[in-house]
Amino acid sequence: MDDDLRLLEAIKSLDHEAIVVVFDRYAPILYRYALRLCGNPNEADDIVGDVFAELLKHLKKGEGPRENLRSYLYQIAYHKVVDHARHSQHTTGYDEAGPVTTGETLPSQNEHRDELGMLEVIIQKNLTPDQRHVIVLRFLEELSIKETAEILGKNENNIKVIQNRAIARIRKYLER
Amino acid sequence: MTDNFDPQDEEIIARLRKLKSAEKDYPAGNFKRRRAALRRQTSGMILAGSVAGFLKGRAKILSQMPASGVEIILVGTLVAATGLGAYYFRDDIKSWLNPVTATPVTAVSTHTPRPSLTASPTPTPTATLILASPTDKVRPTDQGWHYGQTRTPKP
Repeated sequence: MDDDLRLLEAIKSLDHEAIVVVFDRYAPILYRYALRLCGNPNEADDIVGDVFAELLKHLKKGEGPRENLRSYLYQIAYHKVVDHARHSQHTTGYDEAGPVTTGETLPSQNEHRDELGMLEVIIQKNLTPDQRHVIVLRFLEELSIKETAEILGKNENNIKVIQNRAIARIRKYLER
Repeated sequence: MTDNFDPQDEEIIARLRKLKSAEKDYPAGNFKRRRAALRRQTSGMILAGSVAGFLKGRAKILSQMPASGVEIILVGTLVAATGLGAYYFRDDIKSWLNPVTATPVTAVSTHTPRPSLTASPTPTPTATLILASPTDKVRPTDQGWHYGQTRTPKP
């Protein structure tokens, strides 16, 4: 995180090399995050491109991240994922709690026997969008409650409630 | 992380964390392409940013000045620009403003005036015929001399 602070200062002054270092560090992480949520490698790649284009746009205006570079990048990625989902109609609506269709990248029926594959299917198909985002950010991306709240634009208590409900739902489906 | 979970929840969370190991990497080709695009974008942005920063700095200086200072600068600039323009187009402006008193164009005549040589009539010498009486003595030295006649100085 200390290194992130130095990087943050450097990119604020439009340091060319620092921006590239940020890309090297965060592009693979953001790609995996986007891929997990949208389920399409091409879309995930586009999202990474959009995230960094947005970052440059903000830096040019003298805006951009203030304290936490990582949660800032995740926040842009989160919004891009939501936008892509709306445009490509991969979901049935982000406020609905219905199952999510993510196409070819979902594990096949054979993989359902596999514990991890089954867990992944539950996350994709049986959680609400908010629950899915919270689970991915908290336990796969290993972000704190505070960072997750910042990214999703909610308060910390709200995130805790969503997280507990998501875990309860996963447990329910695993016990079936 | 100081969250306290139930033992059952801990088990599920441990399983969720295992999913991380099954993640796919960013394809190397896509990564390189995006990286190169970012480099191009930042190069262009830094150049444009430095120009914009310069202009923004000038605007900031003006905005921080008191209103009277800004007015003085603007009026001064306007006067200087007007003066420069007027000097540059001075001849045109002069002819536009006062076409009546404009310097007339001098027509140069190629005709050279010649002195008129009107000959005045030459006075004809009149001769006075004096008839000498037979009594007059012929004085060769006084020839032509008469009383009252102005004597011609001898050279």
